[in-house]
Amino acid sequence: MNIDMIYSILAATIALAIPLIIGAYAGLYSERSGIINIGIEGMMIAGGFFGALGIISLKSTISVANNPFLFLLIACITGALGAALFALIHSYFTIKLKSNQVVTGIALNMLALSGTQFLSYLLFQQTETDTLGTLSAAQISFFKNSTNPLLKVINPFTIFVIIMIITTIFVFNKTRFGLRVKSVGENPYAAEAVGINVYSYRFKAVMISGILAGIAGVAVLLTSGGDKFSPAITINGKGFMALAILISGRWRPISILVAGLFFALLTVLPISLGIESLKQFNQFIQTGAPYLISLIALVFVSKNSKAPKSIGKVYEKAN
Amino acid sequence: MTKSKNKPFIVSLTILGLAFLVMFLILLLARVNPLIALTKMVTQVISSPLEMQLLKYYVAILILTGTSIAISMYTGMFNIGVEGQFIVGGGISVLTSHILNSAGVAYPIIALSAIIIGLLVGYLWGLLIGYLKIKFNVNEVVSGILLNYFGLALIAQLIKLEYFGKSYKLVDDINSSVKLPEQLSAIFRFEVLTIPVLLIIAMLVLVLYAFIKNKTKTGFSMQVMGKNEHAGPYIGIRTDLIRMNVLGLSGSIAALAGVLYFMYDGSVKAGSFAGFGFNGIAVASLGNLSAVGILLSATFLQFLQSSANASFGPLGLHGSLIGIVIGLIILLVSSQYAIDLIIDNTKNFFKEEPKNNESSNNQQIIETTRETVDTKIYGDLSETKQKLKAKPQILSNEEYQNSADLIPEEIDKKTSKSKIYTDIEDDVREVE
Repeated sequence: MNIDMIYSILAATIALAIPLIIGAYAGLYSERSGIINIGIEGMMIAGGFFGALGIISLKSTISVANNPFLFLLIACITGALGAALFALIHSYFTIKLKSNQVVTGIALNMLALSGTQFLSYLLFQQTETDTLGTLSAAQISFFKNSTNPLLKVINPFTIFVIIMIITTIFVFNKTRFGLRVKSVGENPYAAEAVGINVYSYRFKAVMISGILAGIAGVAVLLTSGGDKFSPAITINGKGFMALAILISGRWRPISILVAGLFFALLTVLPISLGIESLKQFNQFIQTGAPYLISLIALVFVSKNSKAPKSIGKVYEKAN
Repeated sequence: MTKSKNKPFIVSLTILGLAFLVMFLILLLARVNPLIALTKMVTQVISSPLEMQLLKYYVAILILTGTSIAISMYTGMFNIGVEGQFIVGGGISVLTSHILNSAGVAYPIIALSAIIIGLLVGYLWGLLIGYLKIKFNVNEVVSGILLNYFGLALIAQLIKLEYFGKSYKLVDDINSSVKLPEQLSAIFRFEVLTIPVLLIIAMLVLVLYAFIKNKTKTGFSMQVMGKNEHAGPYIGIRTDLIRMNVLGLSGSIAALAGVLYFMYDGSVKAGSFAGFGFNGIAVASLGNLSAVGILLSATFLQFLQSSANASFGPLGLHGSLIGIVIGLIILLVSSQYAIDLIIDNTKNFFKEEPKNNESSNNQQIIETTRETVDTKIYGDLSETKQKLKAKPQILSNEEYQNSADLIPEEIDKKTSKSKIYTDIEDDVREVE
């Protein structure tokens, strides 16, 4: 095993881990405020789809090859907005209408999948979007022309993840907003007694969750999705892997980062090592192993689950 | 899910109505006349005998997946691993049938063993979810979804049948699908008086579900656990065992659905989820977990799905519109509070104005009786009523002392203390 192989393994790990970590942080904001968010997958699908729409709509007027970062920004904005729409539905149904959060999340997943398929059929006469032009992972990398694969993988999403982690740790520990969100998640009735508007903080947390999930969807699209977004194929269960990473990371920012990187490493390793006798199982490893690893990690972690105390419970204002 | 205070049938109808409303809106936005689309959907299915036959089969399979989810929901859990159990149970039974077929076993025996193996595999797959829930506290929704994807990959790998250079395939074709001989799938397409055997099996399972639910002790325990997840130990039911068994049973029914689906087709291709599991959630929720409800909603939803698949192509639409409708149904079912609001508002909208005469008559009678009773007990109350109606005034000190509202304090002339206190002192002295 030479240094090149180590670089490529690390690069593949980071490339796979970034969308999962952003998705897990989306779940973190929502679940820390007490709302189970199973709809991360649906919000990622919506984010990727609307991000692709944003790129396609401007593809003909502005050249993609010359302004890759501009298109990245446009995709992130439209993707975040699209996912925020689904987060709006989730928050309205769980907070205002007091429905079961798990069922709402599952319904949102199905709505997002079918809705994006239907929309793309209407717009493009096929169940996947048109090609995005030449925007791809290589284009948005900061070190496009480097031969070192580890440097190639550093793109704006990597910077975004680092900023997001630092911001989240700061928000949750030092700002008024973050501490109140945490308190609402642990004991909303106590928070209400102090005068915190539980509905408002939960709503804001779920909307942040939607925005982050949308950006995660755009990250999947641009770093590994090829040149088009296919609702049924591009984000094939990554949202649920992000959920598993969230639970394995015990709802703490740094633990989620470690868990995400670990998951990605375990997923990437069997293929990158290139053992000859395992090559025939490549497709199985790629499509099935991540879920098995997530499940095994959950088995080890869930026994003493440190979930926010009032997660999943319906809250009604006491007066 | 919290229960609505309206009748379940009306709730389900309201949900269907709302979902249809949204579907019509989407059709309008897509520049398709909703009524034309609806008539096309209905006529396309009814007029084609092939479609009607397929419809009967798919209804049977949807009834099975709906029952599978309903059993788990009745016990307070959410078995969303139906898709995985469907594919794994069906896929493994097809593979074993393939192996048995190449060993020369007779077709009816293969059919029977396929069903039994499917039931067993499904039970184990569901039991896995239950075991992880009981022993390791893993949320059954997350583990179910992860196992769905894992099962899909597993079957996709298993049906390749080519390991370490040796090929186990009988039919030498490149795309990964295992095909069974026609006679074997003909057994599963058998019809008795135009009712498919599959539909009879589904009805039997539904009857069994209703029997377990309503007539057995275990069914009652399941109901208790569904209504309150903490009540189990207090009344002496073994919640752990029941949870694992219910998830296992749910898994085997879902796997039965998979076996029947793949055996009817005669081949298995594990490209993506078949969709019966997700539709099953809508079926179970819309049918309010009752056997009749599941039957009706499965028929209706499958009709919707099949007709959309058959007729949407020429209209420029895609069958995933029904996926949107089904997602909406599941969304609305979980928010009984909102449905209650809508139903109550529509009821008030259509209710007549209450006739004032009768109710006001009653009110007057009550008031006059109250007055006569009060005057008999307390005497003439008109003065006090006037004083009560008067607004309280802010008096100066002198006015306050001179006002007549105070109870005149009787002062004992000898001790110049208030008589109230001397009375009490007298009582105290008597006791001593």
